Amino acid sequence: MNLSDLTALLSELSQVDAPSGHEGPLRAWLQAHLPPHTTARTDGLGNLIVTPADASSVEALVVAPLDEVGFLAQPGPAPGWMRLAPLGPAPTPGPASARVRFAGGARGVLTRDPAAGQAQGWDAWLCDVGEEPVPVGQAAVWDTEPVVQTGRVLGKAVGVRAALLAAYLTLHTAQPRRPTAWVFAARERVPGRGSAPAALGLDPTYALRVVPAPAGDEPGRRIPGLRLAAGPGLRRHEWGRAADARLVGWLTRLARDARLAFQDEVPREREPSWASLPLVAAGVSTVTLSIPTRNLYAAHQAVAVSDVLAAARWLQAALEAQGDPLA
Amino acid sequence: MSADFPSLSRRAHRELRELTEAVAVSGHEGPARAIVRRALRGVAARITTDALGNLLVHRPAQRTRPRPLRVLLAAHLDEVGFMITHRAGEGLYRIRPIGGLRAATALGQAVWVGPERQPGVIGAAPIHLLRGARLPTWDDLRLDVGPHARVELGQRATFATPFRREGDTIFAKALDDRVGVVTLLELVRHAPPHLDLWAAFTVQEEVGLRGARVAAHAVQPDLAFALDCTHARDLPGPEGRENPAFNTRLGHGPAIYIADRMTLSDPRLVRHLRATAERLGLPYQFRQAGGGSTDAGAMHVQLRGIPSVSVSVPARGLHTPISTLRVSDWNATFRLLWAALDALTPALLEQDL
Repeated sequence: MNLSDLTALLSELSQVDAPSGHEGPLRAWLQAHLPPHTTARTDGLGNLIVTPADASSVEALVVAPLDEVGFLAQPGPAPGWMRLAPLGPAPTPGPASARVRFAGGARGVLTRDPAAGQAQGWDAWLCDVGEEPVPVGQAAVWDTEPVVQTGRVLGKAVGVRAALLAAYLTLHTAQPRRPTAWVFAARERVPGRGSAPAALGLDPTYALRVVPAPAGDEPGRRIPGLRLAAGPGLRRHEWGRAADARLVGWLTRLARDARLAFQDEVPREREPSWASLPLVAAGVSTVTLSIPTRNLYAAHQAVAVSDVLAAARWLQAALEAQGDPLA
Repeated sequence: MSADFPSLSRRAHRELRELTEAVAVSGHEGPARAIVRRALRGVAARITTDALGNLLVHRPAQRTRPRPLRVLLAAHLDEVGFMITHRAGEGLYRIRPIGGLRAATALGQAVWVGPERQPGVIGAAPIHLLRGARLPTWDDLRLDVGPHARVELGQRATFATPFRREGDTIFAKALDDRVGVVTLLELVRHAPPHLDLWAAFTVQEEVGLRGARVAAHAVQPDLAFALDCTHARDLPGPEGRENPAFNTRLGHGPAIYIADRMTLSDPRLVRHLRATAERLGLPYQFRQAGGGSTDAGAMHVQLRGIPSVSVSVPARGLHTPISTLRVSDWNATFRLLWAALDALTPALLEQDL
């Protein structure tokens, strides 16, 4: 797949709405676009688990998020006005406004509540839905159309979709040397930790995660972080838990052999789904690749398509590599 | 639906009184467990206590083909309270909270210590001596039980609040979650015969949902319900302004959870509860999404994922010396849960999430 096709696919995926716990549309999209000779099932939490049709056991997992941050409609102070509860770490719009769209089709505009004073957080915001009926509890996402710039896509959910896309591409391209399952994990933006129950059912030896990570390349930043278009991040450390050093070393060697650009990453913020996999059952050795994303979880995010392609190639190289990655 | 649509029995009210007046703080749930075990005598074929102290009760389905749904209902036995940690003089002890309690809430309160409910007081200074004083911390507080009390370090204590009912309102301590426990007792008594029903009276919920985790692992259910009691912060805002963070409201029926700090409820179960309530004309409300958690937070991520939902009776003043609930909300909660269980079929889990 070339960069142009990848850009179009990322734009398309960013518009398939899948807030945490309501991932049905994206699950359906994936199921309709699976390669032949694979089987897919949905577990009790909504994880989509894809394996080769003839697989009897699993040694390696490729894990990517299915969900994006979103909102739940809450009662408001007057007809036509709702409040929103965030699903995941959705930042408030700051001084500006923003638009959301609800699962039922209604749209709303976020407005700062004049009665909130100096209060921060989502209680200080109202959602103007006009005469559109929105039942309490209905899910919503940022209402942002994707914008394609040279080499990158701007829009809502492009960070998580970029991670998903990297994993999805390997479903079509990789010829794994070991029995492999792909887990498109639900509820990862909230502390639901969808991938952990999926791993318990599959009992893998190791897992390769792909996640979005906040970029830190704005000018003037005192401590620079991940840069856009400089390759995916390789997480040297998980918040509160060490990354598996064997897998980190193995992936580093593979990237150098294949001349793939990558960046070392030591996260400064806790990821919502941090470090749940390594503790499953007798333990799953886990390593994380990250896609640098500007304004992660906000209404307008930015991702470099070359980073997605590099992550997919890196994953493919890992799945097709000879030898034991845990040796 | 089965022919009889049950309501809460008088026995349920007696049990709630007895349970709310028991001292059963997290880790020392024995007194509440004993009451529940006694209440279930002759009702369930199999009652076991697991290694953590969960009381697991099984009501098998009356038919085994086709395979009945295995449903786990959980309500927690434990309450928030105090642990006695150090001697601080004759009849005086330092205390620490068990679960979510603020030191300021304990100031000047009468307490019961241990299963025997020995009386004690967490002393407070008179207002004359408190000018400009900051709010107390746990290090400032002392439990005064008098010189002749038999108190041991590690013992638990709770607020000494007698149960009281006035019309539709109940005032008591530990309604979180003794009201869920009694609701669960009633559901076990009226178990729909087509379900393979497991009830878990769980321990250590208030200190990290610990009991429910192992209970779900042991039972391996197809789906799970957490029965709890949630905050109603429904007092009006200052100057009559909107209170945007009411969580739930008294008198508006059972609170169905869509999302809390630990769980996104299974949307199929949320839809099922809502449809059941609307079909029967039962009141219900959606709890505001956000903080807090229930046993569902631990259960839904066990094994390969267990579809779970929470339903709570709303109450004011939880995690304080005295809480308030409406009997009408409690009865509607029981009826909604019973009707929802009665209408449960395996087809529910075949719906898209």
